[in-house]
Amino acid sequence: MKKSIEEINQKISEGCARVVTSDEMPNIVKELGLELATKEIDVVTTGTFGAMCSSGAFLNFGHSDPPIKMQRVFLNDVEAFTGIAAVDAYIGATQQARGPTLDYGGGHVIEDLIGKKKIELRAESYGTDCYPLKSLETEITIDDLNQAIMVNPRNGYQKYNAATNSSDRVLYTYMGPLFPNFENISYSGSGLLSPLSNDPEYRTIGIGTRIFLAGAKGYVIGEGTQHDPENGFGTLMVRGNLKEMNTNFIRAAKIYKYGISLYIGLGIPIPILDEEMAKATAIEDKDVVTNIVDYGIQRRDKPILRRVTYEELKSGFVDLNGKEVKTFPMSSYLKAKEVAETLKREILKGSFKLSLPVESLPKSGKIKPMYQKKVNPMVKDLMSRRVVFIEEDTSIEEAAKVLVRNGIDHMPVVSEAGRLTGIITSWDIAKSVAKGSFYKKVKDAMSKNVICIGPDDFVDVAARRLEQYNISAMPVINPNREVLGMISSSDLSKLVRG
Amino acid sequence: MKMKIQIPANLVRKPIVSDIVLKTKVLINLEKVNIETNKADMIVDVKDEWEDVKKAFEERGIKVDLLKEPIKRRLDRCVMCGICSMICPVDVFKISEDWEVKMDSSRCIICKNCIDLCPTESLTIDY
Ligand code: SF4
Ligand code: SF4
Repeated sequence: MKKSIEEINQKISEGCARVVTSDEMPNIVKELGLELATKEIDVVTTGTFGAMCSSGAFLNFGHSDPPIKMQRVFLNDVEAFTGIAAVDAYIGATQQARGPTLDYGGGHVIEDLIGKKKIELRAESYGTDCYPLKSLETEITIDDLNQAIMVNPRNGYQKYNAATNSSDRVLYTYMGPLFPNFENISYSGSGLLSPLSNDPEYRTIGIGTRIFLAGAKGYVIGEGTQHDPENGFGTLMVRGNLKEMNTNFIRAAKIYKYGISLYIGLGIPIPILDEEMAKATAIEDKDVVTNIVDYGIQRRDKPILRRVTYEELKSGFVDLNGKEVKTFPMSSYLKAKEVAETLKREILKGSFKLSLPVESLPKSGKIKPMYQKKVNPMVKDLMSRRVVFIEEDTSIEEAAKVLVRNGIDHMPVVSEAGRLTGIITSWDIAKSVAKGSFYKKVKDAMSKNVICIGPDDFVDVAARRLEQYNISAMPVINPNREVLGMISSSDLSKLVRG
Repeated sequence: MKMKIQIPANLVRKPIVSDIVLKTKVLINLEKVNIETNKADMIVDVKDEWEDVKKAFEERGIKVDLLKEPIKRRLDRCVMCGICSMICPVDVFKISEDWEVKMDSSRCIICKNCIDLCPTESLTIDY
């Protein structure tokens, strides 16, 4: 059984196409079998609704009188890229407004444009013979623009790595708040509703495929940046007319201690051309597999802790090393479903026709890491290996002597087995002396909450940590909590001096 | 019923809450207490006969605001992601079977943890 895209579009015109959302497909195929399902179902709609940082829009403002060659342009104080023609600019979703707060950014400008709000426009220039104006201030709405075209370099990730945190502190990431010691797992993506997961061979999704982008008709214009088909992490580059979009399917996001992003609703209709497509769209959450990675390791290649299905992620709990860990979504499944439902309704109404790609997306290739001429130094390269430490059962008096003898004011405390258990400073000792003989041993006076770092962490991570906790040094430990060295802000400043 | 109690300077050092518990025989759950030199604010939760407790405070010249809906959500902005359900210590938010994030405002203890973590700035607390 084969159907052509023309036949399917004909049925859509006649109002007799059978359209379902991709979460309905598994049961349909189970009940009818592949052959009958292929005959019965014409289109399967998919949807996703997540924070997609790699998004933005090209805007053309029209010419002022006298004309200006916009060299820098600000929309509600958010800078747009203007290294193109005189009155063209690209506003990126993650660009932050000038000033110290992280409250407003490109995502908000895009949402406000679609919401037809007034936007303050400022432009600066150096002035030329053909563009004499040097500065400009005005107020615009989307209706004043000649074009407002969303072009997103990377949307619609086939699936996304789930995130957890092995470290001993809360991490605020673009995957949301990750609690210490693997206490939670965050994930993104709509699993069985995900567009690319329903066409993993890229047979119907390719250059020229008509899609639903934030309420408007849009198109796939190519593979997205970081397209990684061999690992099953394909991405899409898409465009759509901002002027036709709907704020119901777009929402500026302010991700705590990370920055601005943009939630976008993206849906793709998949024509059921043959049994193979019926089979592909019958995918279930248990078939969509991703990785759980450890964001506690602040490196590019974060360790993969295990493979996990969206079925497990969506159940609310995942087993991680024998522990039940709570999961939470960053993206919205409810809105993803709304996207797929809306697209289904539009096709049923006859107002949305399907198109096949004019060119396929690349099926081979992998994402490459950055070429770095200079390798960033690691903590183990700069730490001092000569560490004075003390056992926790030593007396306070002895500890004081050790500090004085070595001319230092803090040292790590270790257990009998040589594992780090705390840190003691001259201040801790002074306090315990002031309180009389209340504390006798180092372990009674030390602080147990020690900020530390691993030898294979980058020095940039160490510097950030010292600054965050406002401390001057911290122990370097291995996974067994054995102290390998100390890293201090003066060790780090050696680096700056070269 | 949750209430916000504002105790003026002249009463800050008096054992008001114990006094009211003894007199009304109603249990008062202190959810948040903030004592400064010249005033004190409290969030209390009273399960039964809260009207009596309210009256008792007011009779002593203490301002009481009922917190019927301590946390408010703008449904026109919320995208139903579920981050708030991870953050809230008292399960105000729950993701339902059909992926709607349900909110039971009456449980809120006004810790304000969720306010900054909601990515769409949908959550507000007026107090
Ligand atoms: S975190 Fe904000 S946007 Fe997400 S479900 Fe909660 S209120 Fe809605
Ligand atoms: S303020 Fe605290 S208790 Fe109230 S809803 Fe937010 S997180 Fe929950």
